[in-house]
Amino acid sequence: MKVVVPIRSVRETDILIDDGADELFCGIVPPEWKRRFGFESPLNRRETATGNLASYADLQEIVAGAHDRGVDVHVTLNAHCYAQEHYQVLPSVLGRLARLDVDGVIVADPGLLFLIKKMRLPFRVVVSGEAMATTAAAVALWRTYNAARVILPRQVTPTEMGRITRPFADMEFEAFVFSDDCFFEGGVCNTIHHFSSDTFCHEFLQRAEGWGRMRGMGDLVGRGLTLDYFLRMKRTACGICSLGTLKKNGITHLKIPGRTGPLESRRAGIRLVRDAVTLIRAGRAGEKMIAQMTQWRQAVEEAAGGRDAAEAQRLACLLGNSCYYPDDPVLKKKRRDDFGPPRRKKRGALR
Amino acid sequence: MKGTAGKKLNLALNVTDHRMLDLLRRRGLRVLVAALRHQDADLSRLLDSLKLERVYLGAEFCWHRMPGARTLLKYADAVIDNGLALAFQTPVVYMESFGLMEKLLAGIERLARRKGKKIEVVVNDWGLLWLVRERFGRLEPVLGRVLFKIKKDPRFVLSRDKNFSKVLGSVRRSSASASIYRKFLSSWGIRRVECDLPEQGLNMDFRKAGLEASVHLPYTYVTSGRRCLASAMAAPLWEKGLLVRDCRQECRTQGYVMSCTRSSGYLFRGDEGFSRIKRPEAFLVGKAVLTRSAAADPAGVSTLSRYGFSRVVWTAGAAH
Repeated sequence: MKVVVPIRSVRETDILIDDGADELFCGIVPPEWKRRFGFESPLNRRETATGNLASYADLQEIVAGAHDRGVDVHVTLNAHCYAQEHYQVLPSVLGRLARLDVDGVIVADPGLLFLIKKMRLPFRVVVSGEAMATTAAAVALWRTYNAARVILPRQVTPTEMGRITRPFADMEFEAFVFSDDCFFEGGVCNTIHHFSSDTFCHEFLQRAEGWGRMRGMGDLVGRGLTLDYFLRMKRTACGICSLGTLKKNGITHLKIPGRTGPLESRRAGIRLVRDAVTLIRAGRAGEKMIAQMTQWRQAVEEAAGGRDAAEAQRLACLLGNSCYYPDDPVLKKKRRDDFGPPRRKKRGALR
Repeated sequence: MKGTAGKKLNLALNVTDHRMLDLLRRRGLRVLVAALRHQDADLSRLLDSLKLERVYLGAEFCWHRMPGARTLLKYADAVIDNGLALAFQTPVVYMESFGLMEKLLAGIERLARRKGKKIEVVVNDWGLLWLVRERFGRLEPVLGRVLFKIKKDPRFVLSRDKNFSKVLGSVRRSSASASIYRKFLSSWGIRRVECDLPEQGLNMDFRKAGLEASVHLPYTYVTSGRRCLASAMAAPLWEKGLLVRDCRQECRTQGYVMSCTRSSGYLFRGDEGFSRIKRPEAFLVGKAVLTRSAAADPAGVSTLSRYGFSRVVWTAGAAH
């Protein structure tokens, strides 16, 4: 499985590749776009200068540096929609990317996929997670636009991934593995990520008040506990315990999102995922594998935020509220065994 | 009421309460309309000025809310027998529910063949669009509002950012404004799109774009996902995060009101200058976040013609 990492400046190229990135992806808001539409209506889902390259010259340097080391570079054009005025600029942006020898584009808007097919551009077409390929039928639809790889949305379970990937043995499939989780499903979210100091889901969930009929104290407690559970959801979610399951279910590429995050957190993510991939390749599985992964995960948090952060991560790992794949059968069983009521053997004896 | 030059604006009912559909089945259209008028004063005023031509059945945001096959077909039969057209609403679909959706579509197509009627399928999932075109060619796909892409953020009312005002024109337009996107829609047999009214306003003329368009009122869709706070309430702590779970439809009686943490009240600067103080609120009902549209009042509805809409879809009862 290859590790796909975001890059946001030229100086990061060698650093990220040395750390173990197999592929890089970036966003760009070129000058002609910025003049007309600003960062607030960008080419991709990050409506901010942070996380986006500002010039084709930077992109050219990154592509040249990465290609020297045998690493591909993709450019993300994954805005959900482009209006008519955007399409007056998009063909020249695409042409420029082709001349810069970019290896692929990550796309969510069907109109843009239609345009790329029509222009017969030489890129690899990667369908973004924002395009909501949640079923094999959706992959079949995107395939008609020459999609070579599909990024599966965050909320597809590992078991469902197997059912999606199986009919398409000649395609690549990418899944999220570390960083940047979302309470909602990104591909059907119309809010703006960088509108204010926080994302919509975090900003609003903090002030959510329940309404409606409750049957009794049990419901009141249940509601409070549920809100608390999701409010504690960490922004840096993690799926490394599920790598074995993802591999078994047809995932070929592992995505570390978070272009706007600092370099150190991306580097920590790469090292963590690389170590996890090595463990999986060595055939490790089951409870011992999970124990090792959670220990590494806590170490990452401790390095960034101290003992308290590590302890918060330990609880998050136990409860699964910052887990990319809580429905992984291995993790479900572990949580049930750790916390669930004791299971009875036959004839009423406790296990 | 005219929607476009010479084209009438029609009314469709999005009935989310199955008791209302039972009323239609047992007592007929007149009794249903009387009950809805009694329940909803805004809808009553709409019924005075627009012709009711269609009923929407199904579920827009969550497959758990879909009626079973037999019940769905009974309701569908009742709608058609009462002289109304039918639109079958479908949600985002994962592999978990794909088989069920296929069965329901097969039932709806058999019904369409039996009754000799055209039935619309409102698709909010690209995979379902593929399925409808590949296997159920008799059904007419309509692009649902979950797939109708335009920025919709309740926090727009908070914005005094001058950078955003520069790009307001673009954020008021959707991908349907692009001719290449319309070619894509046409290649998949889509002639009608559904949308609602975002906080920042809309800058579209669907008639000029050659698209039929419906507007959903009174709720505007913002976001959704697979996590459900309502169904997680009854789950033990270590299972609250699960995405695949049983559902007892707690969302029919419970939800969450969410308000912006930064807001104690802002002046909203619309096209006509400063207006009333607004505190952005959103409703989390089941899996979907919705806001109440400012255009829901009758005066607002009369302005819809400038966008080229030909249908108002009114959600009768709960938000979904």
